[in-house]
Amino acid sequence: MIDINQLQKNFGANEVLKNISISIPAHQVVAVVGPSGSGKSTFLRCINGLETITGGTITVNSHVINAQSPRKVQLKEIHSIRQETGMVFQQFNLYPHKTVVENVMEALLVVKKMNKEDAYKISSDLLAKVGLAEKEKSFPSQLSGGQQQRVAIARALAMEPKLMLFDEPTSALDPELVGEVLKVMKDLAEDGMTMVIVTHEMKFAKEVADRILFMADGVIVEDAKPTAFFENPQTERARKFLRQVSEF
Amino acid sequence: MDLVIENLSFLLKGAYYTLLITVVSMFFGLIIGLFTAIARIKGNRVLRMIAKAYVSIIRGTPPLVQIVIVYYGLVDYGIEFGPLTAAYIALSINIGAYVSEAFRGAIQSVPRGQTEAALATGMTERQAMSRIIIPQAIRYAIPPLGNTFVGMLKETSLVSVIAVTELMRSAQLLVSQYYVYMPFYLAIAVMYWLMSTFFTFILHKIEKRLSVY
Ligand SMILES: Nc1ncnc2c1ncn2[C@@H]1O[C@H](COP(=O)(O)OP(=O)(O)OP(=O)(O)O)[C@@H](O)[C@H]1O
Ligand SMILES: [Mg+2]
Repeated sequence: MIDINQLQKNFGANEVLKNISISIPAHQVVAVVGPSGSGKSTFLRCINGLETITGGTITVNSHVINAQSPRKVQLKEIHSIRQETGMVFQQFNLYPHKTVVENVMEALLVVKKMNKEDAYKISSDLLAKVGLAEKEKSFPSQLSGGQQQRVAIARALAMEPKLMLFDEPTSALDPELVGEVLKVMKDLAEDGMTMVIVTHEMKFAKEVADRILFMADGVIVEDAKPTAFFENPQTERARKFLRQVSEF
Repeated sequence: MDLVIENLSFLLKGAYYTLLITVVSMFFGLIIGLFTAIARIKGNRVLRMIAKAYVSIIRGTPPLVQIVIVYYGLVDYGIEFGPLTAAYIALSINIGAYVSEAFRGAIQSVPRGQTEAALATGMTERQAMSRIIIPQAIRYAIPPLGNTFVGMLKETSLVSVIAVTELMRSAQLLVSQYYVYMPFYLAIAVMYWLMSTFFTFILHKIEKRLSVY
């Protein structure tokens, strides 16, 4: 599903991702963990082209972003990848001027050029699936953080993505609202969605992920099954990180 | 005072032209301003430079000079406009520069995450701009646009120099006919004030309506 080859990303002189190569097969749930500033968000954002890559290639479902190809070619590939990839952001980024159901319908209308009735039907069903059937006509500002994030997930799912990217989806939430979002994500994982999740929720990662990527300083330092990573980390860097997060 | 009442219909006709010029210039100014703002934010290097120069020149020169250039100056190059057309052109171009600054500020105050969310669902830059960013930016832009609009209402008095009989020139004509100043100038001051207040009121209403969410 995802094939990343010698991915490099610099911000000016700052090398944020250093030669990352990794493959993620379909239906795998991958949790990306690591200290702040290690490049987790940047890594995720390169996959759907929100960041311009400095070197290497990223292949998603046979669409290839190659750092060497002209920007125009890259943008075309990125556009194809985005049509098959959903993304969920830490800050939800719902459209505040649209109602909940309009948020979900938007891409169906604009990108897929679907008619209103069909788009509404799909969106309405998705909102029911994330437990928000009765909030269709509300504006995002009238919802709790947890509800907003579930709308954001429904919005991403509306395009029937083959891959879902999550960037710390629960970090902006009050602790008591984290569970409802993780529940929706867990259901998605059980339905066989391919997911890459940047998260600080170690318990969730252990429970739901098939695989943990531990990033530090722009490098994937460990790539292991959750039990192996959490019970028997191989590097001092990972042990130190796990000690720090367990202090919370 | 009697003189004012006697000539009220003449003054009202002047007020009508003032309004007409304001509304027409504002309309074209909005269009010019929107495109200039987009050119400055999303355009290529050349487009950005042109847009920037336009805004800088217009904001750095007196509107009166811009008006006389369009009406008298261009005649030297064989381009001749009627006074009213010249007024529309000069003021639309003038207001476009101010509107573009209002829009630019507004577009930039929409959080980056909005564009990213739209792009991530597969929209193109253009779709994200027109469907997600601009509708939100308009709301941020209303207060500065309102100020521009009311400013324009007052600035139209400048086109009296090119013989457009708007409110200011109506008063001047009456003054030269009756040789009294104060009643006519006071009368038009009141009329300008009433129009400004009315528009400010309307803008507040629009702002309120747009902030339902
Ligand atoms: N747009 C940008 N411009 C310049 N530098 C950036 C930009 N975005 C990220 N960086 C830098 O890249 C590095 C990695 O950032 P990134 O956001 O990917 O880290 P992260 O692992 O997601 O951290 P966190 O856990 O705090 O979210 C940091 O040093 C950051 O300062
Ligand atoms: Mg991050």
